[in-house]
Amino acid sequence: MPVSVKGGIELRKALRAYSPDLAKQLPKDIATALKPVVKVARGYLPDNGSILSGWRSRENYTGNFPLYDASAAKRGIGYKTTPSKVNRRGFRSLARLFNKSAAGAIYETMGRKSPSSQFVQNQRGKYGAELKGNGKDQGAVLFRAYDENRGAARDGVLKAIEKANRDFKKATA
Amino acid sequence: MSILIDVAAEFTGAKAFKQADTATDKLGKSVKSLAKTVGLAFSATAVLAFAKASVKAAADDQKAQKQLALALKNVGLERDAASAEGFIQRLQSEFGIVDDKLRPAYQKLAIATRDTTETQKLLSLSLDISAATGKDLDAVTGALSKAYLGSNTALGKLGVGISKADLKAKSFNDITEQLTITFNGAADAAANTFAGSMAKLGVASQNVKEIIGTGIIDSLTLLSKDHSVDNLTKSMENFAQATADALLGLTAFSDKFKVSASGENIFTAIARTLGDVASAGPLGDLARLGAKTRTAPKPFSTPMSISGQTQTPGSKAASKVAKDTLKVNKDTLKLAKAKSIFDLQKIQIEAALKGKISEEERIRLKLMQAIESENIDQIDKYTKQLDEAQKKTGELVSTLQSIKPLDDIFKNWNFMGVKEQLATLSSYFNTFAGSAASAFASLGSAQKAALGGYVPFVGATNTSLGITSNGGASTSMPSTVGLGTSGTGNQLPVGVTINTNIEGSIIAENDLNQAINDALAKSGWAGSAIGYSRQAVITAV
Repeated sequence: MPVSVKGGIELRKALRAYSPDLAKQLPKDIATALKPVVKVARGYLPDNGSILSGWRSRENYTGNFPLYDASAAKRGIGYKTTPSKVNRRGFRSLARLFNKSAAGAIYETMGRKSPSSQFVQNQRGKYGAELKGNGKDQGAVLFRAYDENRGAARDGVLKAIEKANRDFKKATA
Repeated sequence: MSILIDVAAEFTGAKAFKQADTATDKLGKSVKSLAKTVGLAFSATAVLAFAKASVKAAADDQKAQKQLALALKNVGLERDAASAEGFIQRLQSEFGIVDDKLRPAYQKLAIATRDTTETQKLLSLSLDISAATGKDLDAVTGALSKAYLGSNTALGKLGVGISKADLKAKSFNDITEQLTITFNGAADAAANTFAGSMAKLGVASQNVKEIIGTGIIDSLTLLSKDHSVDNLTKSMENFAQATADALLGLTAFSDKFKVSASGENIFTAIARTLGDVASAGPLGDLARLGAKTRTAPKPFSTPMSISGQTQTPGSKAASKVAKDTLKVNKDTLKLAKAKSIFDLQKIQIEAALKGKISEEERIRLKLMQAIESENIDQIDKYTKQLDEAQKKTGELVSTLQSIKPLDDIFKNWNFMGVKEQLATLSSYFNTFAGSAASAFASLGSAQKAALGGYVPFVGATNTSLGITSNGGASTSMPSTVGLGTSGTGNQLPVGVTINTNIEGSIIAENDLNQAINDALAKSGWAGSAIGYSRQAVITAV
């Protein structure tokens, strides 16, 4: 569950309007907190040699199931510090981590629902992976890295927001 | 699908909550509006305000009608203005949406489509979409009009269940068909809900306002005898006060405001009761008189007629006068045109313009022509041009005046006078004559005789040169004239010697003949052509 912050959006607007330097500094501070998770998560992705040969990316493939390409999957892992659109539950994200490539997401969540399937078993035989996290937040790449981070990234983001808030109040006092 | 981890988030409120809030607000507003209209309208303290609001509503409605009619005229749909107004009135009563919202929507679509059928079809669809999605009617019609013109972005943002791929691939007709299927009957269903019924009552109350307002304006216009606004507003206030007093009396019939045992609802009872009271009481006569006085809406026979627009007898007379004036003006113009054909002044100007004239003259003539034809625009134009030309001429004159004349470039030259030149020539001549005379004097008698008795400078005298004449055949010349430097004047300069050598031989005639014969003989021996005549030459010799 994300930490709920109140007034984060307003703070960003106020920073942008009255203190552009602080407005630029806040995303940098948030990024500093999120980058280690991204780096670790990318490390959990197997290279092309450690993937089942049938799932490996190849030319002239006409199927619908997304094939795995290590570089594309690694590129798909990242972070965002800009506020998102409102989701169905009425929340706007202030900082988020994502694993957006299709093959990367499959590798992330494979074995969560059916750990004994042939596909999962064969892949785990080639490249061992451990699912970490709880419920829907369980995964082998990003969720695992975030879980192992033990809240350091989250604390870093909160600290960055609090710091920006303090600095803004000082600057406008 | 992508994996997301929200590290920090802020609750800003769900969309569904907002929609619910909006819907509640709308319902609340409808109820309040109805309560205000029905409840406050009949309270004595609010009658004056109601009258003012009614007048304002009527004025706004008329203004909106005119705006729509003008917009339709501008896009070439003026013939359909009446049907558009009718369509809006029908939608208003059917779906409970005030015409103040429908007219801008209709106008927007009409401008985009320029087609009445398409406009009405899209407006109906907009009402369905608006009712189903809770979006503002203006936003929906805006999106549809943009989509009609080729921009589907706004339509995609409405969230009407059309994918981006469909928006790109499908034509506008396909999309509208899909939307028609998706939202079919939504507006009708919404109108039949409680909220819809309240909205309809709200619309009805608004219409009541407008109708009363129109009546008040018409009545006060008649009362004020003329159309001046000051009189109208004063009369309006007086009439509103009078109406308030009259309505105060109506409260005495409060028992009639109860709902009847037959299940009649309160609003029908109010309307019926008011009708009964109005017709039976002292207001009845006024109402009947008003009904007689009330002018019928102008029929939609003319393209620009608008529903509810009235024409008073006074305005008919005014239009007749306007028509007559227009006819007179046209006749005057025709007469002026005919006159201009035989206007000598104009003919002369026209002829002068065809001649070879300067630019300034041309402008002057054009200006005269414009003055003759009383063309203000042309007069302004040529006056400006003439001013400009005169200004430039003035500048040229001043420039020419500022140029200084050139100095006499020969003034420093040392010319001799004619007299001096003649004196010099005389001197030269005398010198020459002196030399010639001296040379003649030096001739021997035989040489003088060979000249045939010619004696130069007979009678000439020039004492300065020492030439004197005795009037006879000889002239004495000065001894100093000549080439020599001393002596008699016939001497060569000192140191100059002339040697003459004479060479050659003198041949006798016989020797010459012999030489010729020899030459001819040689030539014959050489085979020359001259040899053929040798015999003849010899013979001749």
